[in-house]
Amino acid sequence: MKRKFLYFVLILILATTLFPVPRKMLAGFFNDQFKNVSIFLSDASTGLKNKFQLFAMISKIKQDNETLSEKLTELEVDKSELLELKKENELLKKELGFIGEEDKGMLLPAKIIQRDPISYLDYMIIDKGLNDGVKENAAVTSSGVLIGQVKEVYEKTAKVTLITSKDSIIQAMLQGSRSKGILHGGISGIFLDNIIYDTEYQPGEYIVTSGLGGKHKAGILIGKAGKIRSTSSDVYKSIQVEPIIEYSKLELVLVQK
Amino acid sequence: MNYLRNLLIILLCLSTVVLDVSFFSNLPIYGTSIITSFLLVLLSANSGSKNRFFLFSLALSIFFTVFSSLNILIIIGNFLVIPSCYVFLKKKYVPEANLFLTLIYCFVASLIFVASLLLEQSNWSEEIISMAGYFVLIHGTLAFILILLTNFTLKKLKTGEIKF
Repeated sequence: MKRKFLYFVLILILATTLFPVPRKMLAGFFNDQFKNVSIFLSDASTGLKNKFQLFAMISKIKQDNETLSEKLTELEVDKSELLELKKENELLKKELGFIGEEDKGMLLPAKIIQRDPISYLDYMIIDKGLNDGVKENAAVTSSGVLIGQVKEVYEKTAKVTLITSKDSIIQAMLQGSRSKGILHGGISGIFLDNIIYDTEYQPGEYIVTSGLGGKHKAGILIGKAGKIRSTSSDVYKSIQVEPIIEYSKLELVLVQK
Repeated sequence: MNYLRNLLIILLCLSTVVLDVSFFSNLPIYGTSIITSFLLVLLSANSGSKNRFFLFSLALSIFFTVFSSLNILIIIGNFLVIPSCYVFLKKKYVPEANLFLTLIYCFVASLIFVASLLLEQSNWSEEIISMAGYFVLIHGTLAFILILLTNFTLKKLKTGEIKF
C-alpha cells in the first residue's frame, strides 16, 4: 500500500513535468539548490580533463596552441569589430546619425556549471541568475564571440541555449554584403538561412548579429561563412557557418545584462 | 527500513543525474558523454526485483526530465517504457539469468536511446552516425560490465565471501 502510494506520487510528479511551467519550476528549484555541488563537480571534471590532456599532449605544444588560439580569436574579433565600425561609419555618412555604443560595462562574467548530458542538445547552466541581473534572451559571449542566448532564468542560475542547438534562432547577417538571415543550429552544424539568392559573398566572410528583433545588439561576431547548402531551385541561400571558438571547451562566459 | 531503502534509491538517482550534468558532460569521449543514469536504468532492469526497478526508473525519469532539456517522451520511453517491457518479457519468457540476453538488451536499449535522439534531428552527417555508434558501444559495454560486476558482488555477499 505504502509502495503504491510512493509510485503514485512519483508518477504524478512525472506527469506534471509534461507541462513546461512545472518543469521549469522544478528545474529552477533543483538547479539553484545544487549550484554549489555542480560547481564542485564541474571544477573536478575540468581538472580531470586537463590532467588527461597533459598525458595525451606535450605540454608545450598545448600551451602554444592555446595561446595562439586565444590570439587568433582576439585578432578575429578585432578585425570583425574594425570591419563593423567601418561599415557603421559608411552607413553613418550615407544615412542617419546612428551610432553603435559599446556596452562593455554591462557584461556579467559567469561560470558554466552544468551541461546537458545529451551532448548535442547544447544547453548549459551558468552560475548567475535573476539575483545577478540576468535577463531572458540576453546574449552570451566568449572572447567577444556570440555563443548563445539565455533561455530560462532561475533565482541563482540560468539556462543558456548555445547557437549550435537546434532550438536556437538568431537574427544574423553577412558582414560584407549586409544580407540578413536567420541563424540556427542543429546536429549537422550551424546555418545561416533565408539569405536572398543573388547575394554574393566570400567564403570566410564574417557573420555577425543583425540586431533585428531587438533581442541582441548588432555586430556581435558569430562565425565565418562557409559553403552554400541550398540547391539551385531554392529561392533563398543557406550558408554553413564555421564557428570561431570551440564550444565544448568553454568554461567562462559573459552575459549581457 | 523500507523507507530508508526507498529514500536511498531516490538519492542515488538524484546523485547520478547531477553527476551526468555536472561531471560527465564535461568529459566527452568520441563526441559522446557517459550517461550514468541510463546505465543505472539498464542495471536496475536486470536486478531481478520489479519493485526496485520501477522505483529507480521513475525517480531517474523525473530527475533527468528536470535537469536535461531532452524531450520528455524520449525520456519516459527510454527510462520507463522500454526497460519495463524488457523486465515484463524477461520475467515471462526467460525468468532465469541469461548473460547473452542481458548483453543483447544493453546494446539494443542503447541503440534505441541514441536512435530516438537522432530521429528528433534532421540532416545526419557521417560524424553524427559515428558518434551514435560510439554511444551504443560505450553504453552497451559499460552497462554489461556493470551488470556483471554487480551480480558477482551480490553473489559473493550472499555466500558470505565478502563481509563488512
